Amino acid sequence: MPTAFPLPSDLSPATVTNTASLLRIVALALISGAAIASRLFAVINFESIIHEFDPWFNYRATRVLAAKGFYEFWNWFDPTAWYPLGRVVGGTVYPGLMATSGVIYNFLHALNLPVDIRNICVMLAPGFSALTAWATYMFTKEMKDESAGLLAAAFIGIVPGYISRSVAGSYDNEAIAIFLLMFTFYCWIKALKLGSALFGTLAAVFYFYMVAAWGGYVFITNMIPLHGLVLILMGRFTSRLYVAYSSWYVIGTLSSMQVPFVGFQPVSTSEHMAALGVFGLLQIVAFVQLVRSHVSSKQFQDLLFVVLVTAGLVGFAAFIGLTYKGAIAPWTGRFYSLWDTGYAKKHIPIIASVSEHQPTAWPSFFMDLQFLIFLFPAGVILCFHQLRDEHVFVIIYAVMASYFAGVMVRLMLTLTPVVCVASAVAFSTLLDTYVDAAEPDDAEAPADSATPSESGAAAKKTKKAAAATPSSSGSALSDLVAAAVPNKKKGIYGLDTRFAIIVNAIGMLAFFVFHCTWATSSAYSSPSVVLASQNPDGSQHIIDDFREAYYWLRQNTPETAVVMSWWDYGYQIAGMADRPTLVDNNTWNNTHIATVGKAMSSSEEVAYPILRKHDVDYVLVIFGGLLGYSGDDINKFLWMVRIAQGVWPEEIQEPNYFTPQGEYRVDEHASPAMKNSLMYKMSYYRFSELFGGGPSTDRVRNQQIPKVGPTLDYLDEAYTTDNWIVRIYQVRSEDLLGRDLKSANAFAQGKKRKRSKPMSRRRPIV
Amino acid sequence: MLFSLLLLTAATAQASVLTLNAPRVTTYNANGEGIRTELLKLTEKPRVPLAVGPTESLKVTFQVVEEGSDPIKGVQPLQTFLRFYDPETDEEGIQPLRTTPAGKSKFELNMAKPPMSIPPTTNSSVLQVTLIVGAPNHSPLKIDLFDLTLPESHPPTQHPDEASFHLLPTIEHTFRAPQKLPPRPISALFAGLTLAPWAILIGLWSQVFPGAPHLFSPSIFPFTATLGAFEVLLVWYWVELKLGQVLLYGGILGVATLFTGKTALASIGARRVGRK
Amino acid sequence: MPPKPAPTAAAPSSAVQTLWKAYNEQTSDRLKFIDAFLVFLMFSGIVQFAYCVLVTTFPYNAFLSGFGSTVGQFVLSASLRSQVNPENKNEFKEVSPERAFADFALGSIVLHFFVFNFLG
Repeated sequence: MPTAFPLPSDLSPATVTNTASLLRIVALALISGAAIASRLFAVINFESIIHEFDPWFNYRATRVLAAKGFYEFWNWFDPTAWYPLGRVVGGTVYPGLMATSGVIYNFLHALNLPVDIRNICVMLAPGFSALTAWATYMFTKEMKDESAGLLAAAFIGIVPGYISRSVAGSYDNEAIAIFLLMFTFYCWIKALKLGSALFGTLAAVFYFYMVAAWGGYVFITNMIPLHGLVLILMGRFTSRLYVAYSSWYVIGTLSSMQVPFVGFQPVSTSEHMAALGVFGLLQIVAFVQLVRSHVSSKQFQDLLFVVLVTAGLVGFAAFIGLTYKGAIAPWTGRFYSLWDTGYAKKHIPIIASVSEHQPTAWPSFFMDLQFLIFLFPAGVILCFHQLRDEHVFVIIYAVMASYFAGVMVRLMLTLTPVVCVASAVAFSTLLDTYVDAAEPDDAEAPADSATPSESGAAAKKTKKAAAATPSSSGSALSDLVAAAVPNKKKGIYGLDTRFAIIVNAIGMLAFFVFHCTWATSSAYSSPSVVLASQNPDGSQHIIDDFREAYYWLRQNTPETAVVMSWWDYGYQIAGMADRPTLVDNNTWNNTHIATVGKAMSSSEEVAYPILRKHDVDYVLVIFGGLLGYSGDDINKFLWMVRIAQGVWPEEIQEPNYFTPQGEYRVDEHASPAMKNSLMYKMSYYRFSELFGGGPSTDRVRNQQIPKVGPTLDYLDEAYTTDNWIVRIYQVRSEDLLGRDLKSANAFAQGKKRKRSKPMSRRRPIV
Repeated sequence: MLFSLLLLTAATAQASVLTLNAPRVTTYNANGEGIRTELLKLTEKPRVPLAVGPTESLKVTFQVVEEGSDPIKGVQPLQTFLRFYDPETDEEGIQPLRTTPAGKSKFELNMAKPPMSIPPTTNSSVLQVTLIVGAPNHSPLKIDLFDLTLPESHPPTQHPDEASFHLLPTIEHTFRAPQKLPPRPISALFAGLTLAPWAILIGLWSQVFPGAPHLFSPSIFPFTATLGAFEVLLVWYWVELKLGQVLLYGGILGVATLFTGKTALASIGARRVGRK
Repeated sequence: MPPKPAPTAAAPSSAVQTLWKAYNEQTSDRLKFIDAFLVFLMFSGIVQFAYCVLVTTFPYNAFLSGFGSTVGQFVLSASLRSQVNPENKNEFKEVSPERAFADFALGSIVLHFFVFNFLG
């Protein structure tokens, strides 16, 4: 048999297997190291700090858990959030993340390793990313082979689409959820392949962990039944499917109801009904199969017909009746927004206002996945080529996740694993084809020497080079080509072709690594609590206004001082300043948020009673106009107006905040409603003084602010940070002499009050 | 107590008493012609209230003097007020008056242009007009002069903050109604029904019992024992244990079960293969 | 799978009779043993469900855990039955009867843990 390059022939098969498995272990270890290391940019460039918004709440909850224990945490009522309502934290939270950190913390302390809880929280996401890489390896191994698994592990380890949610410090539910997602899917595939209740139970246990960790568990709840249904419809029902699905569903559903936040939803909401329906269907199908094994086919068909029609009618009627009676809740608004992207904007502004709920822009697919997005379809097509049960799963997963990733930016995260798996299958098929030393033979003999692969990973499977014998499990690409050109001998001759392709492929991989490193370090590693800018000499300048403001609050205000801000900053204020807040990122009460929106968007006189009624002591706004920080409150202002308008349509109207030409302006042409709004006044209060009489420019909106700035009568400026990003105002208490604060202020400034004649109470009838 | 009593006697001893000289009230029609004139007595009011129509007017004159002085010695008080009080609606108005050094004073009420102090009236209200005089070194004087009826006016406008000066309604909490438990006989009936399938189970098993000849052999019994122990542990968890303890004990028991299960199933497997 | 206890209304009764006969002849005692257990679980579940529908759902978590335990035990036993059924031998190549029993034991313990946890 001719080979393109000489192969060592004196190796025993045992040596080859041992070396291959050693290399696999080393490669997996290196991949884990790379996955962890590439997530540490945030710690190196900035510091070991919790990022963004939601992680601050998780961190705060974890501290409570670590300090007081699990049962205390379970019953934790937090009176400082959603002042004056408070929040039942134990019942409204997915506790998986905190429990994980708590277990690690207690474990390390039991070993006398006094690690700070903050560092555990910061490092949890990178640690779990290594586990994700391993889970993806196991999953892909079931799809193709070990080498594809290694590639997939390497891809998921460094792909920006996953890093964006799992850098060090990004202590959010997604940090552990993707690992759980992949491992649940792996257990499911394994259970399905073996027909083992053990793996079904394992899948259920990890599903339970997933339910406890992330609201995205609904994705699994619908993916697995969908897979089961498609297999039944394809006529691929087996007892293995019955064993795997039944054991997963029953244990998984019962366990998911243990999470208080989920409660009875798995038996009462529409999102979970698909799983129940497929479960029922499987019972019927399995029963029918059993009957078939005992009776003749004619009688069987009579029985089958009656049973199926009855069962179908009863099930359908039950579903309709229960939905009608209200026992099964209809789809929720968040769910509708997945099908109709305009739905949220029309009906639930609070969902639409979150930037990660927007539809994905095309460039971000490339930014997050780079060349994987091109390989992804190829990998899916290769799955069609073999189409075993597990390949059906990948195909369904790919279709569903692609759709959802297009609808919502944050669901990019669920697409990323399947892209890595499919691309790894495609890429490894390519390498298999071109690294294999076998050349097409004139003889029709199959070439079946096992060769250690050049990619350093695994022993390659045998590959048929000859077109006449397409029966092997090897290269799918060559089979495709064979189907297209039936009568010609096909294959790869010589070293030049191999080199051209392989160099190209390695080049793609290298560029991928470069891209990932660049994207991670520049785009995804900012903690957003601490900002960075470049000095003119290129050195890094840290902008630390947020923490400056929060620590000011912490040290200069009484512990009971209520701080009002837009809900984005609620968790941070609670976490860093330790002060009660009106609203926070757990957006469960729309009216309360609308109240804050109304206070921000109406005039001082209207806002003041609202502030007093809610015991607000300080108001905090984010203002980026001086520095050019575009994520500030003036840019979010329209959402406040919209949300407030949803509850008080007579008092707040969005068009009032635009100029008559329909522009959103903050300069002297700004609409009166805009200029009088509390938000505008707090943002630009004394702004023009900063420019000493020169033109004062808002650098975010590139507009000139009027020289005579807004005045405040009901609030006092309490603190403004270095770069003016955070401005804190103190709410004045009522005037001691009973005047309204506006006239009291005017009096203090020496303005004479116009004397008016007192009115008589008597009005004669004319 | 004693001290205040002393103070009181000292004050009355020093103060001399004030009274009015020639208090008189006259009503006029629109042309300035007098309609009715009353010489007021300090002890009782005129029987019939004075009436002032929409175009009519009223004039009160008096002089404040020291009681029992001879010749009459006028006193200029520091404060002189007329109080118009409507006991029906509790509306009142206070009109300060100017007095000359000789204690003479007058008040004119022209209903075409009433002063600010006149309170709103209804068609049935009778205003009580009281004179209040205060002067240093004299005990205060308060005299009900006469009653007065005025034309009806609009009811008073409500103050914008009026609403917030009332008692708030008490907050009532609504709680979810407690869940009803079914009547005891029905509970008992269904408890019996739930146990009924056990009879079916035992009946069927007695029909088809394949037999477990090696159940108590030393290789298998530990396995069944550890499985039983697991169930006992779980019941115990239900009764009193905490989650952490269950996981700990369960872990230890799990290792034991793994070991016993391995031996037990291996021996069964070997027997099965051997039988074949 | 449980044997069919009563004929389906519209089905020809002869078909059911042959089914019953065939079942009795072709099924080994061990499988019948499991089938008896399945029938027991089925009746137990039906009674609980009837109680929930007819009387009250009040301790809903207790009902769910009771009902869930019967359904769960049912499918786990049914899985065990199909795994040890000699007819399915080529479907479950890697699952020996002993392995099947171990899976069954593990699944049951996990199930019972959650049941007791949910019982309240």
